[in-house]
Amino acid sequence: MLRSVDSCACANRWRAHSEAVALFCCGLMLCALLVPPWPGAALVLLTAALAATAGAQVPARAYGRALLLPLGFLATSAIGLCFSLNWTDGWHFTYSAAGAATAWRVALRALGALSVTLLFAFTVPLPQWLTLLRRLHTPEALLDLILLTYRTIFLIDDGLTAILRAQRNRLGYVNSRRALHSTGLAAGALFIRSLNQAQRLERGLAARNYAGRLTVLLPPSATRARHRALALAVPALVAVASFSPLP
Amino acid sequence: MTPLLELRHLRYAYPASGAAARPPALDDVSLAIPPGARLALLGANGAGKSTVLWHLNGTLHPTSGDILLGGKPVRHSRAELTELRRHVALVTQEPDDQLFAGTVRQDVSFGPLNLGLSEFEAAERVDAVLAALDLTAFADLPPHQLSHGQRKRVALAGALAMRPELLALDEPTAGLDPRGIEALHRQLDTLHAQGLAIVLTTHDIDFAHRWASEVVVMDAGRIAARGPAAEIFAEAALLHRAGLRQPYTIHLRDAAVAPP
Repeated sequence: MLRSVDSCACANRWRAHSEAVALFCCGLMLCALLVPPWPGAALVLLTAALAATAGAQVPARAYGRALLLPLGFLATSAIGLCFSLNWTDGWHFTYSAAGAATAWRVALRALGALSVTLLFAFTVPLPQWLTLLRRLHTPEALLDLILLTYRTIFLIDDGLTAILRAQRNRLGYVNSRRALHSTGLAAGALFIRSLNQAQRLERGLAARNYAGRLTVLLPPSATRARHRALALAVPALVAVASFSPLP
Repeated sequence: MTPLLELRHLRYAYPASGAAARPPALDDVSLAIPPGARLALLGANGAGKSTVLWHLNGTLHPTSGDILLGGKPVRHSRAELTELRRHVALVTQEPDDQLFAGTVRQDVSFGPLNLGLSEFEAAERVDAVLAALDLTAFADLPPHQLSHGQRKRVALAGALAMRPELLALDEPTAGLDPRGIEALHRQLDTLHAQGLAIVLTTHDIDFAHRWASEVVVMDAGRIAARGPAAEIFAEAALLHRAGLRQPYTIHLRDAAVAPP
């Protein structure tokens, strides 16, 4: 899923409009958190999904799959809220209507917020994040850390894939006992490999005159006034619609 | 003529990892690189080729010996290392040891910005290098979305954007398919024609035979021989002792002229 999100972020139609997307997502997130969950959060979910798939042309399948995993956690928590446990007069496990209402509200809000977070992740590539963060006066050391973390995640992922493939090819996961052993070995090997990679990268950067700062060119934003206006207008409309009585 | 860069009596030993001290990786290595050189460093694994290369731009500090840039000794202070790396750019064998940024354009801009160029000047250099190496289409992609060969070209672009006088390439043909090797050969020819001195290490004897005008053979941390490529590649016994072989074109020529 990591690579799917990254590929979409680099290839979607809105990739150069990070400023407008950030405004749009902030507006929708405020709606998800502040307006009545029904129909507000549901409208947020619908707007974010449409914006991602129809506007930015993120593949619906990729967006939907990314929603599924956190949805599992959300469902588990919501079901938990629907029941109450009472031990004053023996142990009682009962359905609670008030709990179910709370679960419904919480789930809707969480789903709305989640869809907005994914919209941002699927449409804003990392270099554009850095441009936004620099404009917000984020400390440069933190920006360097984000840049290195982003690159390292994929290097570690490559390393892990190679190790797991090598283990599977030699039946490392043939039964649960071997699988446990192989997983431990993979974790150890990945740790050593990551340390070596970090040392080699440090040397590679030194060869390029690294002097303590990872200074790179940041991409310019292609956002214009009309993009900003649209990015603010849509969440405003969602907010207004959320307070309107349902037919 | 004053060499562009000179190594004098260089010794280097990698830090010991256990109780036993390691043998020196370089033992009394002296090497002068003139402007416009087209030099291949050859040798078996562990001969010290890459270690020499890492000394050329001061990434490794010699245990003893001197590095001279334009005839002047280089002390390993930050200012002198910066000056050395302004003239000598290094491309690592594994591109992931060098690429760190979010996009190709960002990564290539790292060196020029470290030289103190303005963002405008750096952007101009980056665009020119990306166009020269046919990488413009990948400029806004992150390195992990590129193939190994493309990442190697990005690493080369990062070095060339610093506009060095000497380019040091560690195993530039490793992991490239025949078409990639041909493209690399053409790029190196173009760069050399523009006045760049080039030093590379390789295990690809046939590539070295076609490309290099001068060859250094290394064996166990020492320079076993240095000379024009045609002379060195004619020395079958020397190459054999260093764990190498003659190029196939020489084998074919010898086979063709040998009496039946």
